[in-house]
Amino acid sequence: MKRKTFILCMLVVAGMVLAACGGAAEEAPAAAEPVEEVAAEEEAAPTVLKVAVAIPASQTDQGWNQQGADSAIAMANNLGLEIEVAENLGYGDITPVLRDLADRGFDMVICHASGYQTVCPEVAAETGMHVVVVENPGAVSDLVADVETQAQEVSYLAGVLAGKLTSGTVGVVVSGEPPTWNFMTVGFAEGVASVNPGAEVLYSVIGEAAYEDAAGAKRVTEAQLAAGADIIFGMGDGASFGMVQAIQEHNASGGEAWFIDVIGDKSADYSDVLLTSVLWDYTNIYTQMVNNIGGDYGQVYTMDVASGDVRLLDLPDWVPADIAQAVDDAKAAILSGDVSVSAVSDSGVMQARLASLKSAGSVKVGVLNPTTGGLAIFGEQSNSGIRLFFASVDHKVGGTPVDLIFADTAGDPQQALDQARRLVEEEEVDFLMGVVNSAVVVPMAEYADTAQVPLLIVIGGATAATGPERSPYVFRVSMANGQQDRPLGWYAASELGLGTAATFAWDFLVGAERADAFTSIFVEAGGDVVSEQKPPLGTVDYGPFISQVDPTEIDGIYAFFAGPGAISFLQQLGEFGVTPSVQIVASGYLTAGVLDAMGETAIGLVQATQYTPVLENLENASFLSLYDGDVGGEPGVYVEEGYLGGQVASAAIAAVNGNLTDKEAFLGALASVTLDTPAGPFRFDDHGQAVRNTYITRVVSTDDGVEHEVIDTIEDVAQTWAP
Amino acid sequence: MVLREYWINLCSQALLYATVAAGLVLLVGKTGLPSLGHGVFFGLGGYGTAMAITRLGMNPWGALVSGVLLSVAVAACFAPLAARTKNIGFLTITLAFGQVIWGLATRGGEFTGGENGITGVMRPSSGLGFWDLREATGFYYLTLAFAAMIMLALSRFSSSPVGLSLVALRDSPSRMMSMGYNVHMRKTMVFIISASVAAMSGTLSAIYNGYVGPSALDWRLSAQLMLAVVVGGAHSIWGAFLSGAGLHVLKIYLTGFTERWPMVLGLIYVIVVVILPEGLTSFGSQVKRIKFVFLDRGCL
Amino acid sequence: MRFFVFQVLNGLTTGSLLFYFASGLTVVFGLMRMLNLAHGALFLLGGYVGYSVQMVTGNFALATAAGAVVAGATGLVLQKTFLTTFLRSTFNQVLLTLGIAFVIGNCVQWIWGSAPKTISAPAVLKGAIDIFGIRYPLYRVFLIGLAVISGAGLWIFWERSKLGAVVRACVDDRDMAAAMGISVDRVTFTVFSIGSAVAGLTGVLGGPVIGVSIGLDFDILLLAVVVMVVGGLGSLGGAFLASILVGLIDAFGKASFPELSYFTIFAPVIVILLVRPSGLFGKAFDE
Repeated sequence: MKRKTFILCMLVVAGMVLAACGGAAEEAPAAAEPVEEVAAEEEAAPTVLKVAVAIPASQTDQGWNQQGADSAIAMANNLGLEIEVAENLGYGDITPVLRDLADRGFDMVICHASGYQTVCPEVAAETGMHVVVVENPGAVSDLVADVETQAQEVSYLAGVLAGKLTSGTVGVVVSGEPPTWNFMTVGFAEGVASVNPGAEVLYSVIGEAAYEDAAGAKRVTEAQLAAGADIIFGMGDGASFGMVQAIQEHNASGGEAWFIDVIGDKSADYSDVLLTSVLWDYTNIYTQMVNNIGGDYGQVYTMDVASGDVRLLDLPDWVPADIAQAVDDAKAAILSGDVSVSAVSDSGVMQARLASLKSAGSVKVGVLNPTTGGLAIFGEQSNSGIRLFFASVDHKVGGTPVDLIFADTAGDPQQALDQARRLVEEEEVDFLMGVVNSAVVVPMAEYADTAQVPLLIVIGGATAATGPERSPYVFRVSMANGQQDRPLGWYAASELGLGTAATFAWDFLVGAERADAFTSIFVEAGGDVVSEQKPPLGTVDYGPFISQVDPTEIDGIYAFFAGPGAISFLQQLGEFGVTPSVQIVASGYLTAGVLDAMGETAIGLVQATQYTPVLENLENASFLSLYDGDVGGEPGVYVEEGYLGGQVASAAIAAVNGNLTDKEAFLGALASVTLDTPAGPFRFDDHGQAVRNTYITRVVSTDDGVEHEVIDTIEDVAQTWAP
Repeated sequence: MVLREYWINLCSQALLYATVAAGLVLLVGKTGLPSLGHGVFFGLGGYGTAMAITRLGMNPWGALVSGVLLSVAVAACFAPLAARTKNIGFLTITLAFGQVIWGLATRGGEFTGGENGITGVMRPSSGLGFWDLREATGFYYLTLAFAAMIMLALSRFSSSPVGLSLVALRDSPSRMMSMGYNVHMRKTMVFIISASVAAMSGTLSAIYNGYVGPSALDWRLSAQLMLAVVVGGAHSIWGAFLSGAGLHVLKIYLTGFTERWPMVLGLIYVIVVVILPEGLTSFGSQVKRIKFVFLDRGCL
Repeated sequence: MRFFVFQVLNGLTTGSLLFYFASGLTVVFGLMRMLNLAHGALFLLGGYVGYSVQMVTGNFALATAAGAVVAGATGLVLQKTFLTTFLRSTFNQVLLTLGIAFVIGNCVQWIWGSAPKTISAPAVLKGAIDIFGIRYPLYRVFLIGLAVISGAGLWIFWERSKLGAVVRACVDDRDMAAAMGISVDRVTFTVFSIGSAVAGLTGVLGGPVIGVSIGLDFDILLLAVVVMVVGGLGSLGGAFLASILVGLIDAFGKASFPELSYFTIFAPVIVILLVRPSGLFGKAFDE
């Protein structure tokens, strides 16, 4: 009996020694093997799964690695799964680890590093184990799921926050330029620009793949802080600790800077410098993936702001409520689609985008109007309207200062060209506004096209500028010749019931285009034009012309004159006995700037105009009070068109964040401007010509003299309007 | 760099006006015939070229020649008439004639572009591969060469016997006539020569701007040219050349500098006439004279 | 017939204004051999002054007088300052008077602003009358009538009065007149001032017809040059006839050939130049 017991003991000891030696490295599995096998046998159905997450660095890095691990653990706990974290695997080839996991019966391995995106699918194919990769949508298969993170939108929110809090300079520090970081860099920069286009955004790369280079990160961050950055948006992984340290030291010696982190949550240890973080929470998608095993597993799973998987870490208490609200508003705008954030993965495109977001310092506008000579009154009024608008916004558009530079054309195209060259080539203005007379419009439009400078015409109706051969650089805010005269022709025939008419217009381009436009629609609407008088441009004595028309034979007269010629025309109509029996119709320009001088001679005049001070809308109310406070009295159409031009230009400037270096973008911004203006709703057609309301007005006598009253409104009149 | 290009372009323009002024010296300075219509020959050269290119589809070189021919032809028709007068008579006739031409251009409808002038006057590229006239520097070299040639010709002419006789003509036409010179023919000839210089400059100006308009025919241009001649010293071709260039650049900057530029310009006219009737060349002697009047004679 | 009457009256209206304006210009030329290119600026100045005075007093006659006085005074001042320079060479005259014109013109814009102004005819002259079968503005008829009267008056003065003879003597032969004891300088001075005053007066008189606005100064000057070329430099009678002629041609030209309207004014110039370069009544003044 003693001999059998001894051999049994020896066997047991030998077995234990063997087990200890052979199974040292695989202690757990060895010990667990019999248990697992039992477990595996027990669960024939694939419900209790074994999930592992492989991370390159420490599980407690408060960053990328921890987020992956923590999310997986949370998910596993929620679903009652087994979870194992394989950490500190490094950035090299982890195939042996994966094979081992497969051998040990793991159902799903989350390969949480972009560096693992090639080997994991390989092992998956080899072993039949499900894997999850990041940023490799091409690898998706039945066994491979991919995680894409759209963090740019939440980075945008971080940017909004930073832009609002900063005193002028923010910094972006990255430990490399992988797509993940690029998305966030661009999103952040756009967010800053959206609320603070004047803020400077510094950008520094620590190294090519410096994810763990804390020393380098600290150095780079110190440099940015020295350059004045007071908010640092850092993407580093381990390197982030260097950034945080730099900020702590900076604050300790009197500075005040804050840190915006990505992916993880460092608030436990660094709440003294942490403003917020663009948090990545994988729990949700991991859950989805596990649930899809055996089903539609192999797809791209996207984390974004809508799903809430990417979100901002709760803001600290010291952030003012209105700024926190601004961030919420921005988020709402993104979700509703009002704001769209660029998704840029490529480094080159990212660099370009950063450059284009840089504010150009200031915007220079060249204003070309006649301030001497016979047209001086119109140029002056146009200039005052432009000045009035920009003064009302304090010469800033969204933080970008706007400089106005004025030049006199004297109504002469040659002088206008010389001055335009000086403005564009010497003063380097970003775009031109003006010009008042049609004679200047055509050569100026040609110059704008050759010099590739946007031209915003605020008065000047030559139709060629927005016709079929229009240059993409030319836009017109006011009406083209004929644009008001056509509705007027229709109105005169249909509503006023005028049967026969005579036209009086100065014999030049504008007069001809307008009178012809009036005539064509007037005749179409049933009227008859019995006489076309063409006094030479600038005539003030219309005797020879008025005397050729018999007032008893006509119901109405269409007139195009302006300034002193218009005054004397109406006066002489009265003197020769033509008015008041004959109804006079004209465009708004007849009385523009000279209504008071016309006095009673204008009573009864019916006009088609794009603006009159008596319009009742919100914009006009504020415009009138601005004008009254500044100049006094009521503004005429020339002033208002200048003001409107300023409004339109400003809207376009705002749309490109004050950066007009990308001309295509600015032209596009101009083309899409839609506004409410003192003259009603405003938009451009696809030839750069404004489409606006035409108001039919009548001049009436009031206690204060003569005034317009609106008797009808024709909406949405384009340059191709037909009744 | 765009800034430098602007200055080069400005220089090209200035050279063209300077050449016209230099040519005008023959008529105004040496022969003593004040013209307020000289600008039209500059403008006619431009219009001729512009119309040839845009309305007749001519090639640019042919158009340049056409422009000159048009202007010279008109000058040749008008010169004999004008040469019958002098001083104020000459002044009023040239002014009236200039207005006729201006009127024709502004009332010419589609053909002359009317008030708007003619756009789309394309610059040729010179035909020599390396010399691109569409570049600022390329065009500048052209104007430089042009100006040099004209100045050379003008200097040779004014020191030639014919040229010298013009001065005598101004001083005493009756004596010239009694010596058998055909005064009338000389005046006509000088008129046409001056006009030709203006015409050539005008054609180049049209292709420089890509545009020509009624302001190139305006009497104000003629007045400015006369001012340039006077400032430069009336007899001096180079004086007028430099003044012409300077005045042109000054006007552009003055216009940008103040809205009251017509007043400043007017004051310049007045000051030049009152203080420097002999032109800038007499600046030194004028300073002495003023000093004498105010200081040495004790009246302050 | 109606057409004819209308255009004749229109032409005479224009002619009247031209005559007032050109008369001063041409007589000054005769005396000083100087073409005063600032004459148009004085016209403009007078017009604006008249406008202001009418704004304040509502009185047309007063406005007219004010315009005349201010323009005359300006002419006086200009003479005192620049007389010697005026009498220098032709180009000096041209450039000097042109410079003065630019300065005055721009000052006017500075003071009164760029907006065009209106001058109303006096109430008694408002409205229209029936004349030769048509209704025509009374004020214009008044202008024509005034021109006829003042033309007659001037003719009497010029041809029949002693003072007129003195002036004529100065025009014809300065040196001889001086030798006869006439103070040529004083005559010149007076005539220049009166001429300037008349220019200002015309500015106000023309107000109800052509208004008061920037740019008129040179518009009317150019027309006056035409009148002088056609009528003959220095000849008052020539100015009278030429004004009528130019006015009529202008009116009929505008009415019948509006496309050529600017041309029709200057066409007579060409004709005269071809046929009779010294003008209808001109003498050989090119000294």
